[in-house]
Amino acid sequence: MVHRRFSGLTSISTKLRVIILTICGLVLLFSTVAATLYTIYSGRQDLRQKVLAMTEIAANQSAAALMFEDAVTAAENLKSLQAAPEVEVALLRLPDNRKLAAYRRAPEVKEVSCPQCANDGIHWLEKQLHSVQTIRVDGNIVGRLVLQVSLEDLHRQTTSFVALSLLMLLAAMAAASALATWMQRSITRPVEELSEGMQHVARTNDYSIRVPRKTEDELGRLTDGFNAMLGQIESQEKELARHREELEMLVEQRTRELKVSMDKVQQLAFFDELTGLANRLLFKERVDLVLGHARQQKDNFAILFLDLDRFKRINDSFGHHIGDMLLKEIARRLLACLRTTDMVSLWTEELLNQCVSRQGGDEFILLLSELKTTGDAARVANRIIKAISQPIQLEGYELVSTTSIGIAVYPDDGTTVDQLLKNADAAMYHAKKEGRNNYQFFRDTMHESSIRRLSVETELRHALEQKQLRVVYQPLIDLAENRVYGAEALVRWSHPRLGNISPVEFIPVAEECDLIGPLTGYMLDQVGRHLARWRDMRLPSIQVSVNVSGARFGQQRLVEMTRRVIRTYGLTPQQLILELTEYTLMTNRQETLEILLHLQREGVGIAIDDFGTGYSSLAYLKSFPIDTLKIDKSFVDEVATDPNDQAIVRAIIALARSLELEVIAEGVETEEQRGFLLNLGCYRFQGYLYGRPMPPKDFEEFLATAKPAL
Amino acid sequence: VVEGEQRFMKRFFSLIAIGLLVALLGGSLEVVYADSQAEEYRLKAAFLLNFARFAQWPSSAFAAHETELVVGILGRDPYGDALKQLQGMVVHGRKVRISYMENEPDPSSCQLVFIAGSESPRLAEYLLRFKGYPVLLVSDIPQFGERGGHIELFTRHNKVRFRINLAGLKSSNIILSSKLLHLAELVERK
Repeated sequence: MVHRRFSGLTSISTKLRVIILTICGLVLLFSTVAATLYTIYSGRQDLRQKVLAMTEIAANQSAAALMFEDAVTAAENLKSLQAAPEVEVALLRLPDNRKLAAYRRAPEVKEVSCPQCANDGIHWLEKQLHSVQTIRVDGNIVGRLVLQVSLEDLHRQTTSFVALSLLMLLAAMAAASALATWMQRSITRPVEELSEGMQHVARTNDYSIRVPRKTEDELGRLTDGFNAMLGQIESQEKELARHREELEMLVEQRTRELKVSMDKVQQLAFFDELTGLANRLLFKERVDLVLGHARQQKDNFAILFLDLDRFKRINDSFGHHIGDMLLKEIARRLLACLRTTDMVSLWTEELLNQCVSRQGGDEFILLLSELKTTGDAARVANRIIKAISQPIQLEGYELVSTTSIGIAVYPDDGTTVDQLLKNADAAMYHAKKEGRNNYQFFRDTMHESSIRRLSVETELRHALEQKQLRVVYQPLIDLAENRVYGAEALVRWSHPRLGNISPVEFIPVAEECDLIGPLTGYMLDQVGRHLARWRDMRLPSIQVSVNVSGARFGQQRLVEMTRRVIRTYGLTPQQLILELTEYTLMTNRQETLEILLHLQREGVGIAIDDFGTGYSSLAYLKSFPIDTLKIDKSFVDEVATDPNDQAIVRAIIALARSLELEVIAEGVETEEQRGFLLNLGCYRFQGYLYGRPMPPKDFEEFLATAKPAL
Repeated sequence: VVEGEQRFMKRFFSLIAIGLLVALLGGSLEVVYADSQAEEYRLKAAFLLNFARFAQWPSSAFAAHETELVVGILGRDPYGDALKQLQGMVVHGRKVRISYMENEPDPSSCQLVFIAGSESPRLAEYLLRFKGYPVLLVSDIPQFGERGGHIELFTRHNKVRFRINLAGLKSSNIILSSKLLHLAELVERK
């Protein structure tokens, strides 16, 4: 309880003061009480000794007087006790108890009766003491002396001593209090400083302060400990702050990186990674916006759907790296075209980017808003076609690509984004069908063709499996030798439901959906089979040329297939001629060259189809193992009337001659054409003039009958 | 009538009371006087012993009887039974013996002598006889001290007192305690 109450005191200084004062008070109190008791005791002892001595002296003096009962002398003797003022009464009694003499210090002093004072010695009463002594002489009792001594002096002495002691006690307590204050200050001052230091630290979190050490005792060590602790905390704090800073820096860096990533993600989400153009999503949003605007303002706008012609071939032949670079260049050119278009002059570069979009692969879509007339769209399309068909120099290659463009105009060709895009796509396919490198406005009939294209694609797979494809042969005539020297194997497709489907329609489809390989294989096999049969029928030995597509050409399997057919049917390799286009030849040149060299070693002939339509460098031509050049039908058509075509044909023939190549004209239909070509030095012909493509049975007959009668 | 009768009765009883009182007092006075004679000598006997107690004899005084202090009585003994009280008491380690002396006493046979009043006429002879001997001479004969005795007892105010002749003591070689001297009158030198 006490402990609790004590510990309940608020401060150490108060506790210390209480302790010091309590100890001092107790010590002083005990010593005062002891001193007082001792003083009282010694006072009484002194008095006792004194009284005993006085009694002895008086008794001695009075003995004779008692013996002789001399009251006068006895009284006189007793009078000498006046010298001791504390003696109040003195009585001398004879042995028979008669009173011989008495002394009284003053008349008013009374003798106090004391029944118990019969014996010798000192008897303490309340305010007096009685000293009794029996007086003997020679062993005989001669009388008795009784002294009554006042204790007043003793009491007064004691009282004043106690009073003085109390005064001293108070003074000592005051001094102790002062001492306690000083002592507790010397002890608690450092404690208070420590406490203040701690509170300061707690309040401000400033760990750099130190509490000054003032003493060498436990408090000093405590201060040292506290300071050491502060030091440790401070260094830890610094470490922590450093870590925090590092962390913040890291977080900042991460945030920056994250922002970059976010931007990138946004870029990825809305922009095409390769070209930086808007992707389908963003583009559609853009179109939506323009659509809303156009709806309100009754404006027109156009969607242009672009597809690079034969881009797949470039990609397959030259690799994705070149393909990607080509796409980037195309994107750049498209943007440049739009930039120079007055109708988009108000657009910022960012918005411009959003108006050209890559749809993946080689497809691009353009948005032309604020059209005045549809002629504006046609003008832009023309400009684009022209710009894209400019040769592109890429890592030493010179590439030429063309594009087909479909145009859909709001609101005539659609009132929703999807509709417009679909229709523009259909128009683009139509442009492809129309021979590529052109643009087409959407027409309602186009949908059918694009639907048809889809069904062609799916049906073509079945056709290969179900052998719906047939091979027809168009004769090749050599007028110099005046004979049918060969035939070109052409494919025909009679679909049970769709009817006859032109190769112009399904060959590109086959190319695009990787069916050209099986198709070529099928053709080669058929041709091998027919050649073997004709040989067995002992028909004249001829050469048959088979078209090989560029997309297929990049694969070694062509060589294997050729070898297998020759082996299987026991042909002479010279009977086979593989025709490839100038375009195929020029793209992916190195690989093509290697394949051609392989084929040449086999003994297979190589012909270049459609020669003159491409932009192949004639300089490279001689490095290829080519046997024949086939002059494209487009030159032959007008060769009789167009001097340009005559010049081109003459040049091709001259080239063939200088390279020691055979040359044959395709699509010869009239005598006039034949005459001109003969004049220019071309003796080999292919065309309706000599024979349409015919089924093998018919061709057998043709071969058997149409002998040198030409 | 009744009042007077009562007053008379009161006076009568008063007279009887006073008479009785006088008779009683008269009887007691006589007793007191007789007692005071005996008391006086009882005191004087005590005094004799007390003087011996305050006196210091030369050793030669006890040549005859080493162990006794002999108190000689000269003349007719006035003490009655009082002296018998002293017999056998011890003073200075010596037993007190009372010795009644002849007319021709031997001064060396005792240490203290009381000369009774009956010997007043032969006082000079006795004084001469004891002169120079260590014997303390005590008497209640008037002028005893002046005539050459050592201690003279006398009565004053009904109290027994004594007088000491220092000059006479000197020749006896007895020394008296100053305490005794303090109580005594001193005989002045002539």
